[in-house]
Amino acid sequence: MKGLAALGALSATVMILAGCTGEAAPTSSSSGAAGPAPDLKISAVSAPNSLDPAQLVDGTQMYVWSSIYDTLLARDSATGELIPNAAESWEYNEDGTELTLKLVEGMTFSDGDPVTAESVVATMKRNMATPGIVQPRFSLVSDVAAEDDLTVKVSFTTYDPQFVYLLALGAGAIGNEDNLTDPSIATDPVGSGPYTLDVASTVPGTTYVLKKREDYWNADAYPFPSFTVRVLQDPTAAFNALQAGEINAGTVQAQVAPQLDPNSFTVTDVEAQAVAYLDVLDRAGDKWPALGDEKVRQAINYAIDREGILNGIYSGVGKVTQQVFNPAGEVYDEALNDTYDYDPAKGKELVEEAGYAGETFQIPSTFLTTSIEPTLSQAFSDIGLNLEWVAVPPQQAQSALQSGEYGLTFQITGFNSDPADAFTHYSVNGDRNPQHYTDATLDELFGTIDSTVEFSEALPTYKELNEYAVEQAWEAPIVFVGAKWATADGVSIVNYGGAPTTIRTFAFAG
Amino acid sequence: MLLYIAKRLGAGVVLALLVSFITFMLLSTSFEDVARTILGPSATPETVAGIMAARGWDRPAIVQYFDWLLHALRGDFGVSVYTSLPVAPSVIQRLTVTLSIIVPALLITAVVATFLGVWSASRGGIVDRISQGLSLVGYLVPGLLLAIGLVVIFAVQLKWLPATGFTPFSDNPAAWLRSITIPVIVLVIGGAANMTAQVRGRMIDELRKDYVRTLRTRGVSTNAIIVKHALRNAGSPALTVMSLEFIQMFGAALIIENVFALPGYGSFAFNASLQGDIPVILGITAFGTLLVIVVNLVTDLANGWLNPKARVR
Repeated sequence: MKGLAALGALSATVMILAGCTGEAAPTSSSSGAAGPAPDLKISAVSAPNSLDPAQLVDGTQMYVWSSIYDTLLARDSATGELIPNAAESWEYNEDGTELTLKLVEGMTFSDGDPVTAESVVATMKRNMATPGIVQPRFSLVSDVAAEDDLTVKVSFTTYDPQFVYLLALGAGAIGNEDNLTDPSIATDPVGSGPYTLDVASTVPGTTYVLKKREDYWNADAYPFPSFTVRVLQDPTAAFNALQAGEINAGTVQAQVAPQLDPNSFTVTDVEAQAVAYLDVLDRAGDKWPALGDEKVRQAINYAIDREGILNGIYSGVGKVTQQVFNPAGEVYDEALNDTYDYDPAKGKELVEEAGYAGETFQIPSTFLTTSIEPTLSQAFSDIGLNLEWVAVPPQQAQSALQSGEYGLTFQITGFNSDPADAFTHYSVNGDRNPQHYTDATLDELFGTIDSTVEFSEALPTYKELNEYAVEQAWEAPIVFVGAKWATADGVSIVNYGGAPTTIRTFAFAG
Repeated sequence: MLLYIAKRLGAGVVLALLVSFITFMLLSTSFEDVARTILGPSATPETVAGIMAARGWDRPAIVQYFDWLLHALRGDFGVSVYTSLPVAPSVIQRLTVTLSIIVPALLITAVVATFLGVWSASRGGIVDRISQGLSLVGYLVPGLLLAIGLVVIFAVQLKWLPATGFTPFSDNPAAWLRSITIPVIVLVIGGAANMTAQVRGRMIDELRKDYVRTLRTRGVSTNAIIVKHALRNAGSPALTVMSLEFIQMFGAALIIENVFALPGYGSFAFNASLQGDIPVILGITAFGTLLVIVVNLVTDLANGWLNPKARVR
């Protein structure tokens, strides 16, 4: 589901970027298994679009491609910590304009070719030149060069606080320089990851079968001999497949989870993996002056019965919130969740005070919004405002946000890292700020963030940004969307909340 | 007869061209939206323009249509804008899965509906009422509910049949049969309920006609009257209903494919439409139109064989 497309991880611990050196490759998540691990078979809601490194989509599509391609860095599924992977260490220069990555020695692609710094350089340069979803990740990269066989230097026009985290996602995938121009890599790729795609057993769009590479440099970290990803968009189909033993891991709806036999299945709650929120697109009030008035934006926040929505629409799976940052991260501040307690009377008062009572806002109606539309319409009506839902076909959803025709939108956005989430929601070029709003305070805050390489030093500024964003109410966060994972055959799920959706989030307990 | 076939084929070709042209023109307004979807939320006007140019979407729509048509006539329907997989083999693969369910379902439906329809029309009484009752139940029970119920019993509880997925016949005929059993049953129940009523109605009308009475007075047995005379005369409209049922089953297949996670034509079309995968939508439309044309042509030919008066049209 594209709305959940950046389900990546989040920075749970402070990353010391300057001089940060990973010491070891990640070890197996297996915890002393009594017997051999089973074949892992999971359900996912979407198939990978393309397996071309320049077109890799994050989110659930990662299950397949991240098994085939190594990413330079990874995220610890239990803590969110940025950890070494194909790059055993990484280091920024003092002003963050150069990032040096040291590759693990002895890595090979599935066709036997060695993985070298040249492979990374070729992949990154191609990503920069190829129109696609990965290209914008390199917007601040000025050059990529190989210093020697195992050392890559990435140069930036200016420090990019998000970049290093993106190396654990699509931007960090390594392709083989010898076949990057071959169109077949989109469907039958050559990677250096722990698994290879079994093309004969794979039915594109439906079933992806991946076989473990015994010659993989870090094979012990991956206990499952094969990994099958079944695309089951219908939750009933996924539940039936789980019960029939056709898959041994999948998300289940809260209502049906009790039907699972506790002797066969373990149900694990992931409390927060995405945030559902109303996003004010016209933050300056250019087309809808009311939305440019912070009193109106705050009124919208007061109007929303978050508890009611969590229990009524999300079946209690998740957590209410008044901020967008991952609760498992560093920037999240529990105290901010008392800013806008449900109080429609106060909201109405603020709207009247601002002089915008009776105002109507158009908002896109998509597959994401259908269940919540009546609730949000009622919330607006309670404070003297109106919502007009305009049906937008899925393929036009992206254009609608950037068109300037809508003042508001309802979104569900997966977590990435704290820096990436800050930029996504509030920076002048953030994806969730398509009308490029900024002000003096934001400029100042991002000015500090952009010039502070050490995350721990930038953290107070990030927290200040979060506080300012909540106060300005550019968004009306509603709930952190959670998930219930059901696993069988000794498989367990390891996800601090928002971990990149890779095979690393599964462990085998024997 | 040859002229008749040529006329029908000509009409089919014109229809296919019209459908493809209209579809293309309607989709041509979405190229920029699709480019933005491919690029994601970070798309800029420059990157959108870049991808439009790279894929040739910045050319006039009419030029693009004829380009597509010329390639399509050579069997090249392009590649999916998302997966880069060639469209024609993908559509054929999905069509094979759906036909694997629909064709057996239609044949069984025809047999069941003919048997029940003829039986209840010729016997009447309690047999007729039971047949009508079964038809009504089959008609009223939602296919989705029936599908879920059968999965719970035969796949989840008894583990006799798979809950999801499809095995190609060429891989394992026994596994193929198991994978299509529940979907076929669901389609048959819905289809037979509809067709039985049609066959029954036609047979009742036919058995009331004068020639049947004449045949009876000549001592021709009831079975011979039904099989040799009435059924053939009632067959023509029943065939038309069957062809409509075949096309209707494609719609029903979307629900079935979702519930059983089958990699079929319906779910393929649905996902392509959601994503705005233009080459795939065009391929699906082209193949779908051809399929409808062929089914209608075969129906007309069969009707012409059963009823020579139909050839005059």
